[in-house]
Amino acid sequence: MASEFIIQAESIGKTYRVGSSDVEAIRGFSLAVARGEFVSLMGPSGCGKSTLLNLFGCIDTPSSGTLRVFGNDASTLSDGQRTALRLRRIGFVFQRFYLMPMLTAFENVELPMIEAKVPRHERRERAESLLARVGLGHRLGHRPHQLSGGEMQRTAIARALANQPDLIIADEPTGELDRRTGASILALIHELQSGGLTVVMATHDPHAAELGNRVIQMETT
Amino acid sequence: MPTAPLQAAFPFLLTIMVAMPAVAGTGRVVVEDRLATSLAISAGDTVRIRLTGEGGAGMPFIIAGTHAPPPDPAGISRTSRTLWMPLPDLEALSDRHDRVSRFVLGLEPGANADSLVTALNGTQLGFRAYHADDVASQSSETFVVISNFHKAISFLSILAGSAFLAAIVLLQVQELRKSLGVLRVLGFSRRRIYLSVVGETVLLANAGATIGVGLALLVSRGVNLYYRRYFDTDLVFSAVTGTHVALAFGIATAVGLVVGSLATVYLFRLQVNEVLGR
Amino acid sequence: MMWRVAIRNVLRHRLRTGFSVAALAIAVALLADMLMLSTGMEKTFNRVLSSVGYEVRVCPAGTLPFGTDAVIAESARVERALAGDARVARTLRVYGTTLYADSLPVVAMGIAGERQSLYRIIEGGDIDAASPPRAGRVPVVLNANAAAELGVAVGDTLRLEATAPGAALAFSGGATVLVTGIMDIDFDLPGQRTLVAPLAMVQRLRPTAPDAASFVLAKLRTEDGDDPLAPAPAADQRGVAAGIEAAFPELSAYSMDALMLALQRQLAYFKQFATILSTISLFITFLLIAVLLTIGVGERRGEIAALRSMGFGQRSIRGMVLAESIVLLAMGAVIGAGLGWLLAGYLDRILTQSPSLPDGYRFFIPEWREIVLAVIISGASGIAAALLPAIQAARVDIPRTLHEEVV
Repeated sequence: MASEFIIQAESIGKTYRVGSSDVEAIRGFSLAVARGEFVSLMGPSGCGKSTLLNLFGCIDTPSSGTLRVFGNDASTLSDGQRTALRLRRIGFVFQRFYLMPMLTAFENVELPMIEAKVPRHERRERAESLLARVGLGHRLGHRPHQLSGGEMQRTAIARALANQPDLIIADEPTGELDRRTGASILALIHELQSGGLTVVMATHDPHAAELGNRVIQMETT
Repeated sequence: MPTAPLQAAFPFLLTIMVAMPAVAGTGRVVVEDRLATSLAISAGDTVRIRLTGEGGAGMPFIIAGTHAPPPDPAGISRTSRTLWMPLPDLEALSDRHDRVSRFVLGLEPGANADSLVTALNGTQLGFRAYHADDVASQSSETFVVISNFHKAISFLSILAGSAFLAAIVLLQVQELRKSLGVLRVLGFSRRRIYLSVVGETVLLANAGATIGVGLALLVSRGVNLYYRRYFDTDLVFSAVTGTHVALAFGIATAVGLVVGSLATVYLFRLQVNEVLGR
Repeated sequence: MMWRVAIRNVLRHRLRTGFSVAALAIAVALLADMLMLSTGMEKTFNRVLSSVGYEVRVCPAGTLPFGTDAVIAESARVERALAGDARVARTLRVYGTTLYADSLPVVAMGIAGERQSLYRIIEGGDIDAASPPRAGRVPVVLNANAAAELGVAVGDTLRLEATAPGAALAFSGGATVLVTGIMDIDFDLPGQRTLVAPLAMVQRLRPTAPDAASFVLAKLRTEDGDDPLAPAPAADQRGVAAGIEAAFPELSAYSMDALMLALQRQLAYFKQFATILSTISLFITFLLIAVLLTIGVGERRGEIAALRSMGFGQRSIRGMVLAESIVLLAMGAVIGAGLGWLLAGYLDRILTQSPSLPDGYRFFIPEWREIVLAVIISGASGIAAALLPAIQAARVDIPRTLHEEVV
């Protein structure tokens, strides 16, 4: 049963040192995310949504409590082990896209596969197929500044799927987009999740939250 | 015709041998202070002097005193020292009589050097007269060449420094383009932004010039210390003057103005939307 | 891909990359030129000194050839001592002084010795090849300057005097000489008029010490007996020189390496200057790369944090930053190499205008070895400068950076 849960958080907390004082971003949070679930985290600014996503995505480690990601105790993993998890099993979608401006859409999607040492032929095929899947098969050679906001986020989603992850972490994926474009992005994410991916998403948008299996309402500490 | 006393010299290379007991009736010489130090001789000592390369017993002379000649750049690499003796003594030592290599004339106050030079050169006595300034100018030609070399290197250094400054300022401008774009949207005039960027660049350039002048003073000191020891001389090899300092800050300001202006022209060419990152 | 990312990152901002590369190129060029300067004069001295074919030089104690007016008395004794050394193949006595040829002052060299290689005959014959000699006419050779200014050619005669025209004794002690050849010598200053005559004639015109000579040259035997310029082993040179100094304490004898060492004093200024400027060039390279990359990494923190969150390891991030520095350095090196080569010629032309420098002497001798060395040293300096920004980039605080980028 335990292996059905991608994420298992038990009373986790996260405290940051800011200057000379400590700031408690999260306190006593518990959550289990099953494989294939779509969980939305909602709450006001400063409630710790992004902090939680950072913890689930193994970008950061909890200050207290126990967090297991893919069965691994996140607190005991080395930086290299967490990096490897992020490379091969987790895909990130950011509010600000974070595409490499000097690379084309195709090359941006290729990038994580190169780091994962996927053979050239295979990664090229996969990059083309992913971009086609997100509706950008005709924009392979375009650089980010030649794409619209929605197209950039679609490229970022294709990149997040490059190494065939089990988990997608999306932090306000529609934050920089207009309502209509945002809706199409959410629809894409929902479609991917329907295909078996696990998604944890932070959002302000109640309509976005409704797409998920579960909505977690968070409050400031 | 002037009536000032004449000095004559006939250069020989002499070897001073070790000091010896005083001998009555010996001639007197004045030696260069550095020579006296290296041989550990002083006024009152007796030395034997002979012509270099020619062997023989030489003649005894008493050291009348020491003299520190003014540092001469033209003699920087010479390995020989100087001593002064009455011409008759040198003639007796060398067995070469009534021969000098040059006359050096000191003129009465108000005497016209140019007319004297012309008159002497017209005498056809088998020598040529030169104005001291002409001799100085000719003997300085090598140093003019070295000075030109230094100027060429300085120019290249300024070029490299300017390119460096331009790269840095463009970096900064690009990093701040969003902030500056917001200022434009808020209504800050181009002139205001121009003055801000150029002012910062000029300040940066002059900060560099300040450090550079400080560094130059240190290096100059080090160069003088080193070369004075190496060549055993009191010559000033490097001097940072007020003119140099003024030039440094002047060039820094000029470069700062040009580079800062270039950077703002570059910045203003960006569209507001691009500046705001859309 | 890392190189592609590095190249595109560098080309992202062409203007600032252009200026950075320009500054780097000048730094590399200056470094290359200073490496040339530190060795150029020495190479020139070596070449010129080797070209005359004599390995041992004997001068009055503490002096160098052509350095002073001091003379060796009874120079024939010295020559006999050298000839008695089995290692010595031939000798040449030289007496340098000023004489007047047709009332024009010339640098006169009186020589005595067989098969001289001090100068090259470019027209006519040498002074020992005047055949058949015209009765009573001592043979002389002139350099091209002297021949042109005197308006004489091979076969013409000159009046050679010890004193300047107009002197009371102008017509006593002089001689009418025959120009047998025009010669070229590497030691002439620009515009210098040089005349070579038999030693005995110059000694007669300019009597100083008995049998005076300014210096004596010796050519040692080599295994390759056919090549008159092939150098003898250094040990033989030093042995011959030491033998002469032991026998004649009032003289200094120099082997080739001892002579180069004695000439270091004249080279000291340029060598130190080259060292100082080389250090400054390296410092500029270091500073430029360090500043560029530090600011560049700073402005791309978000990108770097995103790459790290995607699973890029610290090593990959360090590699990316280092690759960027290498791309910049490579661009600067290519342009700097060409610039250094061109600048060497320009700077050399400035310095060789010195009136106290013989024709053919060079301060900068462009060679690829110095260019390559400059590129390697600059590259090492630049990569060292890139290490800290690379490490900082790899250690970027991912959550904090992502948060700051959004705010």
